[in-house]
Amino acid sequence: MESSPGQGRSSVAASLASVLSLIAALSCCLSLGTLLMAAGAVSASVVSESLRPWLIGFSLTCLAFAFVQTYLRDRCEFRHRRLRTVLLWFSAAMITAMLAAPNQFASVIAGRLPSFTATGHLIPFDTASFERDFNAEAQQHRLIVLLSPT
Amino acid sequence: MLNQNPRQDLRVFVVWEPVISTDWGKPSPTLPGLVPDPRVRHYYDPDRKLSARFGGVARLPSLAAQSELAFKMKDVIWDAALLYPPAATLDAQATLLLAPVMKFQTRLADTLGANRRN
Repeated sequence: MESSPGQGRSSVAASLASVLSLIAALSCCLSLGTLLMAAGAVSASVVSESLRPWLIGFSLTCLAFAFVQTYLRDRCEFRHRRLRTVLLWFSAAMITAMLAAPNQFASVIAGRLPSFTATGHLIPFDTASFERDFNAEAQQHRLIVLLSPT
Repeated sequence: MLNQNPRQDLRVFVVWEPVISTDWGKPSPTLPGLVPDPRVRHYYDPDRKLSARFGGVARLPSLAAQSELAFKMKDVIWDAALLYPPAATLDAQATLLLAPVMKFQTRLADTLGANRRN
């Protein structure tokens, strides 16, 4: 049985939507987030904090929908659904990677491959040590920046 | 922003803390690479102790002489930059508080540039 073109398009759209929504969920380090911030319409922090769980949920829903469309409702020949299948599994792999290791994935997407050892290293935070480090630089201007890793 | 301000009398303390849902787990060792500058020291604060040390969100308005806050923080101080002049301790009021950082990066860069000229 041949699937309708609309059905094929919907599973492709669902795969793409799942990836895009998850990328948006991790947008702090991505150009999408930068674009949002550049637009100045909304605070990126507000977007990332309040919308993120919804975007992740939306991406998983879209992915589930794409799987149903591809494997349960579609019995067309494989060559007809090759693009859709490749896209679907690519989306599934991306989403799994993003959810399983969001910090590493964000670093990679931001252009920092794990093989690059970045300048500096992460110091485990201890209030007393931090205060000492801060006061030790008392002759300088000091900037403290509090950030979320993703 | 730091690239545009090569001043050497500046030290930056970047404190990474888990805030949003995707922040779970151990941070990537490449995290410091997101702010690659020799003047920067990177800390990982899983228990969000610095925010607590500042007195939490409730004390936010009193942390700096001037502040621009463009989003409402819930239970932790984050996505924020505090600028301290020389000789100020951590208990002293910062001269400037900006949040979120990306939104006010131009303002921050201008302030750092102005401080340098003075």
